Amino acid sequence: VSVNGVQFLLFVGIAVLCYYRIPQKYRWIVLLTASAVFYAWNGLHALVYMGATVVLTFTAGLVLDRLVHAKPAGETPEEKKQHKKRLQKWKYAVLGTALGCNFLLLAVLKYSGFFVMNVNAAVGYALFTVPSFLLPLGISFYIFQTAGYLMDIQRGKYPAERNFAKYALFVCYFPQLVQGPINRYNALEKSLYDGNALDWTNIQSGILRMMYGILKKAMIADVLAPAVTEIYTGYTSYPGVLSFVGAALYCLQLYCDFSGGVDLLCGVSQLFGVRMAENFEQPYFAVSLADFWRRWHISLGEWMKDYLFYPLAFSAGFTKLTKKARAVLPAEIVKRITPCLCTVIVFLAVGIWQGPGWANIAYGLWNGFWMSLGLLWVPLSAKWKGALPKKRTFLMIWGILRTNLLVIIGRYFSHAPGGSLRHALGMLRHTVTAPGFASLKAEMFAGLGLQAGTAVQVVLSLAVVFMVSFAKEKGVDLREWFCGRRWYVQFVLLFAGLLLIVLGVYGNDAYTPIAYVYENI
Amino acid sequence: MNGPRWMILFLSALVLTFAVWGILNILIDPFGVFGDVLLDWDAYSQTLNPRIGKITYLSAHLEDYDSYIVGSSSAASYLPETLEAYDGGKYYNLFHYGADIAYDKQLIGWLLANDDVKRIVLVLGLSEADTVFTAEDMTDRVHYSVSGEGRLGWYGDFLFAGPGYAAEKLISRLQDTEMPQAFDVFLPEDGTYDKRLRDAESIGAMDAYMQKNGGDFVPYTAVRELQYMTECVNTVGEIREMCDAAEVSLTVILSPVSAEQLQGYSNDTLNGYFTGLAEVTDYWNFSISSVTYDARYFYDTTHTRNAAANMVLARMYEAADAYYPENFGIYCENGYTVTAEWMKDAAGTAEQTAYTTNVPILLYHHLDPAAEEDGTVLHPDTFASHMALLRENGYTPVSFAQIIAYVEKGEPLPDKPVMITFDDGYLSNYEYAFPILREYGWCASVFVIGSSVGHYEYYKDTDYPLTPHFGGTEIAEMTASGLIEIQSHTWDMHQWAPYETGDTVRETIVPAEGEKETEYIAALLADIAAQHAVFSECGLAESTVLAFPAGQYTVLTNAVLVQHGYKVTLTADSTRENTLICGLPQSLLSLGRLNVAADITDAMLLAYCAEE
Repeated sequence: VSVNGVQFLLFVGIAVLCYYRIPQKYRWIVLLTASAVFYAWNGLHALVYMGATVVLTFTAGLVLDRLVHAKPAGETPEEKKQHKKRLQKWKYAVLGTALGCNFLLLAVLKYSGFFVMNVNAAVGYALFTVPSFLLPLGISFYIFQTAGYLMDIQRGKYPAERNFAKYALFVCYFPQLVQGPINRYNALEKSLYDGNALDWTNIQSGILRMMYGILKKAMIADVLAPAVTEIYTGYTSYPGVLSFVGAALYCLQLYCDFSGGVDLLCGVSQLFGVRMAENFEQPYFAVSLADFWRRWHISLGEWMKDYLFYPLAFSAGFTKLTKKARAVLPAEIVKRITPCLCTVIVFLAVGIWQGPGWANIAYGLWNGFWMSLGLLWVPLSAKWKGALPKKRTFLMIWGILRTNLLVIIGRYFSHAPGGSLRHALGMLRHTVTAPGFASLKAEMFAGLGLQAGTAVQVVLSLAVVFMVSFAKEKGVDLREWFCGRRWYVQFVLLFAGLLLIVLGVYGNDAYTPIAYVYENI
Repeated sequence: MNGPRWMILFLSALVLTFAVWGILNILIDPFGVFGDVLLDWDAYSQTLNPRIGKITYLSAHLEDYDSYIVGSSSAASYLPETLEAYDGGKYYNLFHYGADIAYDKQLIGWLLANDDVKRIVLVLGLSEADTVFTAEDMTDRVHYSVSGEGRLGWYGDFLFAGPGYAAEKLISRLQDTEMPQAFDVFLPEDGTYDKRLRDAESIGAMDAYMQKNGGDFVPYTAVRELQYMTECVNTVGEIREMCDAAEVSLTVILSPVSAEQLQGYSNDTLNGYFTGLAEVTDYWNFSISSVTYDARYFYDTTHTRNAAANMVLARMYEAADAYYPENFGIYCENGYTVTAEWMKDAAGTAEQTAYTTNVPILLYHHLDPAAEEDGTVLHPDTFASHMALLRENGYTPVSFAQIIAYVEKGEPLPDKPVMITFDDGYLSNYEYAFPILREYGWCASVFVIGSSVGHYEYYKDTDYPLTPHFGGTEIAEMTASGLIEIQSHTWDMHQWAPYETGDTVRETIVPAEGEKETEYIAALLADIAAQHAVFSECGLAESTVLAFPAGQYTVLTNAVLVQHGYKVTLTADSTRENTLICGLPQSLLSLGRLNVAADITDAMLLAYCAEE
């Protein structure tokens, strides 16, 4: 089901009406029902995988909670200590098993094909048939979300949810299912279960945000997608510079696709008064790669930081490593070894999360490399950076350009067809060795489906996105600004926006909706 | 503003959006379903969706018609006017895009229910038995009164049809011209394609034709089954029963198939179809004949030219004055059928030479014993020597009437035909050439510039001296001999720029620079009318042949000329091979000629005639 389709919007409308019609206490049941309907609508087979994860993590959560709150038994302090140790072991065992099962499921569904292909390639013949699974909607998002939940319980951050149905709602709350964000239980729990009173501000913001999301997805991302695909798959037929343009367009497409989807579904969630985690903060205004990753797919970044980076950095292994390094290396360097290595590992994980294929692993390493280099660079650059003048507009623009260049190059890898590293490198080589600026012609874009009319539509829509982003970057609350206008100004703006969306998307026979890039990941 | 009020504001904006959308579709009305009050452009609606466009048109004009042609776009070539000439029926062509026999049946059901129908001509191809039509978008929708679907939902769909359709119609309106374009190619009054431009393209030798149009002839390489044959045959049977029950005459035609399409099916497959059809109805089988193997009778792999369909009708009605090939069309009645093998054999015996002839055409201008010979002036003795040369080599001059009769009626031409023509209408043609021709008893044609006829001294109404042009007296004498045909070289579109004072100087018949299509057509029509007046003054019949001044022309020129009674047009291109094809009037357009100038040797002249 297309979430920007009319059917889905009607479904949401009905759910919202039901939600506010029944007593507050039971409102969460509407959300659970709607989520179940939505998930079943996307294919019943997915329900089995999700059911398994819900049951497993719910049970594991309860057991962990009990272990966390168990009083160490024993007469003597020594016995108590022993018991505490045993409890600790149990905790790790339960957590490990639950996480292991979940991630194993994800690994089998997502990577077994890639793994078997590589085994076959290594032995030189088709040793195994390459398996292929239909990935359930948003599986990696809810597996990451439940993993976070279990680790939080294990850390004693909050008690486990004891109501199975409520817990199921936390996992399968439908606005987060398509492509995240990865929500935290403690952030969502209250607004999800308590039943929110009707707040018109939420409705208003929700609607506006949905419109913005549809604009991004349908008027930009889906229009650019065919051209981008054509460039990526057939790059050899075009001058090299077009490969670069293609990668840059993909950056725009992906942002509008991913953030547009999140905007739409955060808007939907807001209609129920539930505020989900924010996932983007104008990433293309980032002045460094580190800054970029703080602004891009924030909920994944935060998850990686809390549940992978820190546990790794404070693990026994790395502590030992630091100790040993101290003996041979200067303190300034030693201080940064652990963060650097952990950064590389985190980004390797991000790359793997992107999907199977060596190009994705390369994408992770590409980011990890520059991020680590950045960490090492900080103390060196700090000295002369202080000497620079206060007004740093030039520096900021340079930072933005440099960051975007690295991001664009990264997209050669993350979007390589079939995750093929050879393809990504070939396209990169083509860009450098045969740029062919002279042979770049306007007709080429028309041939890619970006004729003048389409280009005008995309540029206009991008201008809207740029203005909104710029305002947000400057700290302007656009909703507040909008609501502060006189009624007729609001009416004209709403009408213009709706006209653009209704005629450009819903009424446009030439428009073909495309699945979200991260929908089945 | 409080919440509920804002919600009302939002919903009002949403309602207004939909209202604007709906109003746009009602006003612009790309499919013509809301009356198309503003633009009133039936040709556009029919082109966009013929199924709906035609029913909409017909619903308002049912009383004008009593007979109908039904079928896919391969039925487009069957012209109501031709059929009416044969059987007096008031025909409307209801052809639609895509082979879709199920729709044909629905359509006939609608006709029988809504009109007092006399005749139905159902045109079939092989595609009806090979594919099942699937509607893809609004352009394939069917009129609610034919499909029987709910009117409300149907109108709703068109009310909220993609705004792209309306936008496209507006853009097309800006680009619209007098002649048909891709977006308004239908003639709403009879439901056919407006082929004025398409059928004004000159056709000659096969090589040249395939070089230009070969891309449209995609061969069916893989042998395939007629996979929906049973369904198709059954539906045709049902149509037969419906018509019989309503006592309506039904004629079923299996239209000519191109060789490129034919090769995709085995004889067994074809025989299955032929037999199947014979079991459910009497029908005309024109599928395989000599026409099949000559791509010039087709627009592309699956579409016969109007000319070929005219031959089909001529055969069916046994027209005495129209050409059709031998062994063309077998009437299968009472279960009788022919086999594909037999038809292929019969077609194979017809050599291309049986229905095509090449005709060399010589072009002379002024003859003058005193002047030096050049590009347009020859000594009368040179002309006489050419005539002797032609006779020695066995050539027989033919007239335009003869070549027209050959193409239109298949009346044979002598061996080694040749044509002798003179441009401009110089007095010297009368003084020197006419006596020589009379001596030989040979025919020739002179193309006169109407505005110069009888101007013996001066260029039109100026004081500029002029090579003398003959007048009415000479014309009368020459035509009375029965040897000389006077034809048109335009009335005044061969002006001599240095002597002209007007804003637009027309040295040739092509549109002036920056001239709009409508202006050009008006100018051309005025010229044709003036020329007719001159001819009438001289006691001549209206000219049907025109030689383009300086040999220049456009497709539009031919289109306008053909529309106004011209049958032959001539250039001065000696490389153009003049292949005349029986049944194909386009083979008379833009014929090439050898300009016999001073530098043309006897050998060159003979070589030209031989190559032709």
